[in-house]
Amino acid sequence: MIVEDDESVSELLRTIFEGIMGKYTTLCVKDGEEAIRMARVNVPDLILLDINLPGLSGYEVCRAVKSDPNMSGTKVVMITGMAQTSDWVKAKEVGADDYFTKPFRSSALAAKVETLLKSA
Amino acid sequence: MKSIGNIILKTFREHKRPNLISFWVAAICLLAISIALFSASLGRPYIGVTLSLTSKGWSVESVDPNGVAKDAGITQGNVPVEINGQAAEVFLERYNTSRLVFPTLINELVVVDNRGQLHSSILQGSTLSLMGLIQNIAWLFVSLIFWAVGFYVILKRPRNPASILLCLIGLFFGLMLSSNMIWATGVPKAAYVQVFAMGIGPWLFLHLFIILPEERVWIRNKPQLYLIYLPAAITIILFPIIGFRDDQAVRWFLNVRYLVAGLGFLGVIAVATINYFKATSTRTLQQMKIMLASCCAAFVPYAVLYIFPQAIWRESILPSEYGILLVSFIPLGMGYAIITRQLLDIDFIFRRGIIYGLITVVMATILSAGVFIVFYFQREVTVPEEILIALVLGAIATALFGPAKKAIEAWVDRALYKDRYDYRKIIQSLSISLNAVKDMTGVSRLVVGTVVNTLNLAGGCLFTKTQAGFEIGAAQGSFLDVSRQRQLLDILSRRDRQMEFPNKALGTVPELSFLVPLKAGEKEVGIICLSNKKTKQDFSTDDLFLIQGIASAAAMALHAALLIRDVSIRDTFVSVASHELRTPLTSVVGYADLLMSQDPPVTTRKRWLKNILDNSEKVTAMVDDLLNVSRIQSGRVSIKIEEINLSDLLQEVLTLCRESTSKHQFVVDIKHDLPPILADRDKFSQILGNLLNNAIKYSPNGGRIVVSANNEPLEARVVVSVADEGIGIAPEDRNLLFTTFHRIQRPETQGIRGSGLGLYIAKEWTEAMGGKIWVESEINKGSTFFVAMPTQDSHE
Repeated sequence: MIVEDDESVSELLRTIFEGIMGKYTTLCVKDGEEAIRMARVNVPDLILLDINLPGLSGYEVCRAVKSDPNMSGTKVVMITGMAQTSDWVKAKEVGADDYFTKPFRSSALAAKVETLLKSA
Repeated sequence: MKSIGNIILKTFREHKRPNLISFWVAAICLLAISIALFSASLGRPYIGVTLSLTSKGWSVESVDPNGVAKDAGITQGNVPVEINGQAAEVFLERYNTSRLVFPTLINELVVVDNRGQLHSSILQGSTLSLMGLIQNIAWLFVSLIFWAVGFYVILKRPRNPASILLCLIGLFFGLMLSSNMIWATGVPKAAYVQVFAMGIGPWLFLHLFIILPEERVWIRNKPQLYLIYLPAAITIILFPIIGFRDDQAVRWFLNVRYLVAGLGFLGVIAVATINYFKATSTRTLQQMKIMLASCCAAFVPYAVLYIFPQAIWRESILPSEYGILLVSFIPLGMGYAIITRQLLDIDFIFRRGIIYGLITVVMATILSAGVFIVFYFQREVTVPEEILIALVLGAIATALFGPAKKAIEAWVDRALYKDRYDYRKIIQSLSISLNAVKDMTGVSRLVVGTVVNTLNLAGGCLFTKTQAGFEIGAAQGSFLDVSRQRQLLDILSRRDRQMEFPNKALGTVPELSFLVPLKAGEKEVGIICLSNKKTKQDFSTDDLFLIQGIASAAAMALHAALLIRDVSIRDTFVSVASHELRTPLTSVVGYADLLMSQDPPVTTRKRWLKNILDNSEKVTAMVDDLLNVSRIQSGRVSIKIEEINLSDLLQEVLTLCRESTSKHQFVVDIKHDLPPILADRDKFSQILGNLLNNAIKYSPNGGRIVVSANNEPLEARVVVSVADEGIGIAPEDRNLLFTTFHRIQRPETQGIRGSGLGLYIAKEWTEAMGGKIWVESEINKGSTFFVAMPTQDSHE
């Protein structure tokens, strides 16, 4: 599941995982509340989660996902433009499995996602 | 040397006004004349004998102790036999009417005393006595002090008329002394210069005391003020006509001159007394105190050393020649009163004076008692014993000095400055408390609470000063009223130094007593507004001392709190700017990466390229914002003002905005008869675009966006407004809205992109173009931004 309010970045991520890699099905949402609702319904294998979102922030979404027993197997990768150590620490505190800073190379992100899903 | 050079250059630039140039010409002439007269007379001897005609005939009336005649044994009551080579009767015949001959007319004198003995004194070939020379040097020294203080004051405060007057007083004083010296050495015509200098002197003092108080600034340019010089002018004009006969002053006119000078000095005392008792400005009060202190410094020692001993023992403690040196305290005090800005220090000086005076008395008593006891029991003391006694007494004095000073200081504080003693503790404990508070609200509350509670005020409030202007920090009592705070803000924007502490801000806002600026170095970080006391009592000097102390502590604490807040805002900015740049860059890098590795169909490729282009533009816009902020903050904004047809410009901007949203409905209400506005087309267009984009961004659920433009001919401006039905702005955010790096932090604003720079740039540009920007808003109902721009009428 891709949670990203910037349409351009959202489309980019979908293209990488669905179009190019071809082996994943993606679901795109734009805000935090919708993300939690859709995650509860669809229970995704992995969530690519932006931090700065309308409504609930990415941290709150991550906390909700990680505290939901039905989604215990769901991996969360936080993707954000905030590049300070404190952001990464906060992401770890709310249970994120990994953290990616914008801008990123698509190959690097794809490799990271594959590794995480294999370890699941 | 460099700073003196800078002062002179600054003075030269400021003194280009014609009246100041003429002042400098006159000053240099007066100085040159005085120096020439001093050089000509400094070492020259003088006879020093005054003759007068009594019922018993002509005799010596007085003998100057430093004159040549004194050395020749001539004394009071001697009868002249020969004067200037002529028989005394012949020489004195023409002075029978004036009945007086001044020393200036006598070069050679032979007298006979009551025992029939002859005494002869000749000026030529004589030398001036040592004490005569000392007296002359003392006169020159005092003149030098007057000149130095006068010129220093005028260089330091060239725009203050009191400086000019003090400098002139010094120059005329020097001229009076130097002309008197040359007159005594046998130049009778020097009396003209002497009369000129002596005649004007007292009235210059009077003029200075009239214009000095800052509450009497209005009188400075009144031509009628110069009427005070009328008595001096009449005396000076009449002197050559009726006051100077046979090369010397006429006695009755001399008395008239003394009377006129006395009237002048009486006027000075009267005006100084009025200044002191009627002073509404603390500065004036302190100035008068300083001048009184300097006069006391001159006359009290004179009374103690000369007048009282002379009256009691017919002999002064110090030779009279040194007495004039004490006059130097007068120009020093006056100069200090004119130039100093920290006038409250004078009370501190008084206090120190009392403390150290008492310490001296105590030490002297103890040491004298020691010496007395030693000599009482052992009348003959050898040299080694003397040394031992001196060492022991010195050790006792050293050991006693510390404890004695502390004890006396504590006693003076408690006995004479009781309130201040407590106040010092209050300031001390406030400073300790302020150290523990780091936020502006905390500092403001602590400061307002302390000052209001200690002085029992009806109310008080503290405004902090930020980039956006003044904002309320804390308020108490009657100043909690919001309408009162608005009145105060209005006063703050148009206050002048006359209204600032220690002066009273009377008649501006009801109950307001003081506006106390909080300055950390040169930077104003806030201002405290204080009401009058609940008991309606006046503020004492001690109260002012407390306010000043609290203001100093508050300024430093507030400055630190502001710095902490600025750093925190800057951190937020770095984080936001980083995010806002990284998000579009993700698309640029990501799609470029895909294009490198994939070979998509043409339509997909075009879409990806468009994404790269759109996001590159976002990065460019962000970088532009950062550069604009940098230009504004370094003062490098260039504005090209031109006449702009507002209707056309608004349509252009609206067309672009309409393309960016489908949720919003735009309503345009622009009057057809709008006059052209004066603005920079590009910048004004960006300002409007910015306001419209904000209206779109901060009304995420859509709604109406109303754009209006109204002509306000009376104000010679057109006001454009952009109103939305969005989330609104809380009152506490409104002041910070137009500052850099500030973004509203609310759950609804999460995910709304923006750097927090747009409104700051809009405000700075609007004001640079002579306009004004403001906002009215209600939370969850929407906001309306107004931009007022001048029209051509405002320039006519």
